[in-house]
Amino acid sequence: MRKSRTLPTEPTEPGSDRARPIDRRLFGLAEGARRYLWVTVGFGLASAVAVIIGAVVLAGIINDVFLNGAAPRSLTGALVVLGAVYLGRGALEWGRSVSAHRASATVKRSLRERVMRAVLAQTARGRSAGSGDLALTASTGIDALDAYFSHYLPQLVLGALVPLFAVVWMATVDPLSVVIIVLTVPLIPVFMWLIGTYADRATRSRWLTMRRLGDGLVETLRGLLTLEVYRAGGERLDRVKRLSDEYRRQTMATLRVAFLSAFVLELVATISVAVIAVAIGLRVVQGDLDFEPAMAILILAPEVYAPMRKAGSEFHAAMDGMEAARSMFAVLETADANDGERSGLLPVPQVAVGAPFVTLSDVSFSYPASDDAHTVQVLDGIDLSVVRGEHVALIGPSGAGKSTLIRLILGFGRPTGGSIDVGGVPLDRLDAGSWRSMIGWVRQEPFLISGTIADNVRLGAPGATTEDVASALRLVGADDLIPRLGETIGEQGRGLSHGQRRMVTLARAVLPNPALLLLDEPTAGIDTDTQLRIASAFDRIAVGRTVITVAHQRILVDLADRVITIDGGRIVTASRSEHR
Amino acid sequence: MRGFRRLIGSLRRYPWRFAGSIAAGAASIASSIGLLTVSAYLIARAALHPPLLDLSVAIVGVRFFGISRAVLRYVERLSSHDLSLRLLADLRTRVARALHRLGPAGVASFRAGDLVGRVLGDVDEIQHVFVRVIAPPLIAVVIAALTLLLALVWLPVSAFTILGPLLVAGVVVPWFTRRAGDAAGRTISADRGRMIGQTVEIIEGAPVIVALGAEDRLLAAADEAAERVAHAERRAAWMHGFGDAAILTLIGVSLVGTLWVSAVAVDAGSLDGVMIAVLAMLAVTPFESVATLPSAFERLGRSLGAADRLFEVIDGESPTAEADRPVPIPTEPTLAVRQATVVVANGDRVLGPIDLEIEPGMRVGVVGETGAGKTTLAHVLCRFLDPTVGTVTLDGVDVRDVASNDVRGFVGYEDDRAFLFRGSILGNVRIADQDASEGDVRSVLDGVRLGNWIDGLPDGVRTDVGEAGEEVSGGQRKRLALARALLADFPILILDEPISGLDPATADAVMDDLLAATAGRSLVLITHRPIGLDRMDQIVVMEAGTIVDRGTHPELLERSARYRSMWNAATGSGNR
Repeated sequence: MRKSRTLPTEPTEPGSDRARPIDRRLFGLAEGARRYLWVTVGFGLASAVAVIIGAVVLAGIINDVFLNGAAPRSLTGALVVLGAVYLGRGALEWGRSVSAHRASATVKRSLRERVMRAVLAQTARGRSAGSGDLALTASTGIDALDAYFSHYLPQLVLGALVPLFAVVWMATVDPLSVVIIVLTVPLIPVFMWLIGTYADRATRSRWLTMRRLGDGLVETLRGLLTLEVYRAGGERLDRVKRLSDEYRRQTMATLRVAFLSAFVLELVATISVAVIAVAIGLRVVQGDLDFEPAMAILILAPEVYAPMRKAGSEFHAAMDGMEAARSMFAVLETADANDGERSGLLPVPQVAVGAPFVTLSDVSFSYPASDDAHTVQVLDGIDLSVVRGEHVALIGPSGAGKSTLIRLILGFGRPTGGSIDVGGVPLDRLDAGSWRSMIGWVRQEPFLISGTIADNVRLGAPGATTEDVASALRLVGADDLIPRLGETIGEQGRGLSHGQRRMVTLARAVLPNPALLLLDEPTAGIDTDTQLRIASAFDRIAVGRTVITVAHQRILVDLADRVITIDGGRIVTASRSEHR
Repeated sequence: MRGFRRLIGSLRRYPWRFAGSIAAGAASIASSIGLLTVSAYLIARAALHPPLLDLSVAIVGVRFFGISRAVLRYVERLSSHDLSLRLLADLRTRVARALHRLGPAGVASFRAGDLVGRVLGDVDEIQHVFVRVIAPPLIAVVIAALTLLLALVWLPVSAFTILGPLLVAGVVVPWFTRRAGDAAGRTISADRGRMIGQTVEIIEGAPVIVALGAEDRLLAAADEAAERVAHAERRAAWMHGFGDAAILTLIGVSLVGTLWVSAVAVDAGSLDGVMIAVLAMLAVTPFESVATLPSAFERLGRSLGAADRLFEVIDGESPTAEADRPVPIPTEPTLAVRQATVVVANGDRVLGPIDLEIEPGMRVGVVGETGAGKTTLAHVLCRFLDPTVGTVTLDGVDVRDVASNDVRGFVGYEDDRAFLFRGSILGNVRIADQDASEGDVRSVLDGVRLGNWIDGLPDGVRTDVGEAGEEVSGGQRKRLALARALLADFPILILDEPISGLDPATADAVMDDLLAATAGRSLVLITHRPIGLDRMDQIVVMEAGTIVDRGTHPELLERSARYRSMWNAATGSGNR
């Protein structure tokens, strides 16, 4: 599992379909989204009509006062209409924004829920699915969809509809302006795409350098103690200053290119307005065009380009949202792809005490390395038979493959070679749910949910009474937590010490009375007191159970019937303990 | 607020860039006002069919503004980002300077759990403060002034009809959206926090949840929280579009009002008819400058908080005081701690009173659980922290009278993280002594038995250790840290948990090697795993900030049941 968390702000890989404005999956997967698309188009139509009416009415008023010498009173009706048009545009805008945020809320909720279900389903099938990055995207990254729904998408719709309506209307009064608009409006997306692609590439290539430069302060913070011990703090100050200046220069070099797309957008828009203004001005002088339609065209011209410009400025925020959504679609699609439930699963066989329970025959496990060029061999030909009621300790250096072995027994991942049997039945023919329900697993990093201590202990046994919970805690030697059962602990067990967290997960593992206990370093990284308490609780916990313990501390190793040393993915020694 | 004012104060270092950036921003919006007013003038004049020459100035004006708008906007964006990055560089340097002054002990006194994350988040927030928070209101003020001027010149009464709505759009609307946003944010935030927590729990804890068969229950709980958030978001949706809608309506008010007063003036003969077209444009175009104000105001609260927190660090007081006339360290002194007590700001005593003596060449083991005060003791010994009460002396010379730089050269410290900087192995070891030759580095690396490993690396000592040393194993990292401590040749070396996080075989090997490599110098070995303590001259047992027991290894083994059980737990010898 990756521990690093990065916000999805990095530019994406080259060749991604980042620039695709409308992803069909977004509207196919989420019901609220499709309805909102129609609402947006409806509002867009109404807004486009309002814009044109507003321009015509305004030009009419100016014409009446300027050329016809109309008395102010005679304008009242037209002014009321004009005011109503702007009020109406405001109301439309508001209504659209409200429905955008509602749609966004619905879509985010449905995506989150489906991703959580997909991750759990994938995990149950033995495939790794969740990661810190995905968790971050699903919880907060997806909020960037707000910008997509409320700003980008509607401006895109307006950007198509307003020029269309304006052109249709202008065609009736001044075809020449239509030509200018038809020639320039398409330039905007073309330029945006051209420069956007170039700028994106330039940004991406500079990204790593910039991140490295930007990290000067991070290193100073994290390595402060080392800097001060070796009296290198002063030298470091110069370095931070130098790196910051370098960072500024590099960033500015990037921005000069990145801002070009916005520049061209603006330039096309404003030059086009200027060209239209001069062109109609000249024709008005020559009497080829009346003042009133000319004025209306001038008022309309900036409105034609405005939505495209706004869509351009929201582009990156919106694409962050799409990016987040896409990484979630990917999870959903993999989950859908192997949705076929397997049939003919067998129940877990009964195994007598002393008979082979879990048997690994020539088990290997490897995964592709990050560069995809070769594979990483984690386990290599493991033969191990654990009899029912036996207590086996797995020892060996970090990274030897012990935790992988435990996960394979749980059915999280399948061996890439060899097989695992339970009482003579291959593990992948077993109903994974009922197999796991026989196992109590304590993994290296304690996993706690936010809730009470009792909630956490009871997680695998929802029917357990408070008395059951208390006796589970007593069994593992955590009597001190019994009075605190109702206490709420924060995320990741905030409020409990490391040792207490371990105690809670241990109690949780034994509460459903599992036949097999898989303990992955139950005493690592905790204080000696708790270690001693867990060790002394061991006989009580292990009685009548099969136990496989991954351990570094000798105190636990000594308690095992058999000690297996694993190094480099192989069993190097196996010894029977003199303990009992 | 104080921090924010200081931040604005630092803008004074760049008066021309600051003025230039605001001017470019304002000129860019002024260009679009110019483009439309001059265009309107051009068309209105044209309607009177004057000779073409009369229009040439207007035509040039239209073309000029058509180009200047985009150019100025580009200049503004570049100059404002350049200024932001300069401010950022200043700020980073000031934070780094403050960190240097505070030292690890001073930094630890900031109660924030994750100072690194907090400082970086705040610096990041401040990075955008000029472009997003400071510049937009200033540009809006310039545009308002320009609009006022034009209105007064063309038709004074239109100053009311245009600036009235403009003021409402620039002040009342942002204020209102911020208030509404705060209120909505408050109602959502608790549910949102729960929803985020549960989503992360389910995705990251999926294997445990599946193993426990608890999928449905946790999904149901997460679903409930997610529905509450979605419900609150749907209800809060009404406030989002309000700003844009209000500004559109206010443009309508400005336009209708201005048209009315212009029509009256034209009717009365006090205004040229051409000007009604121009004024109509002036009534609409300045509103561009207020469009971004609602988001600037929304951002303001966050920026204020970030600035305050950063300046809290920047202004932080050093936990040690430099002597006015520092004295030198005596040769081969005994370091003596007398009644040293450390009381932190909230009045809690985290250390002491402690008495400890370290003679030249002596090896002292310090054992105790997390929170027993071992690290604070180390900070006092290195003089990252002066004790609140009591003294630390070197042959009778109070360390407070010695330059702290000299104390640092005398007492070395490596903590459990054994932090490695990005860069080569060579660079990381050489941090201890910039003048060390590659041969010197090589010999300390051999001393900690990294020679063979280095020989197997593609670039030898010049191999990169990766970001924060991620390319090296735990054992190699501890050995590298030891190597640089040896290179620095400290008379007293404190090693804090030098074998934590290592598997037993590696831990034993590292311990053997470090004891061999440090032979002959004073050593303070801090650990909660008692490996190696049998080879110490003296062992002190710490609990809750004080020394509760001390003696040699055989003495403690004999006397203390607790020490005995710890020792047995670690070494596995003896009976349970």
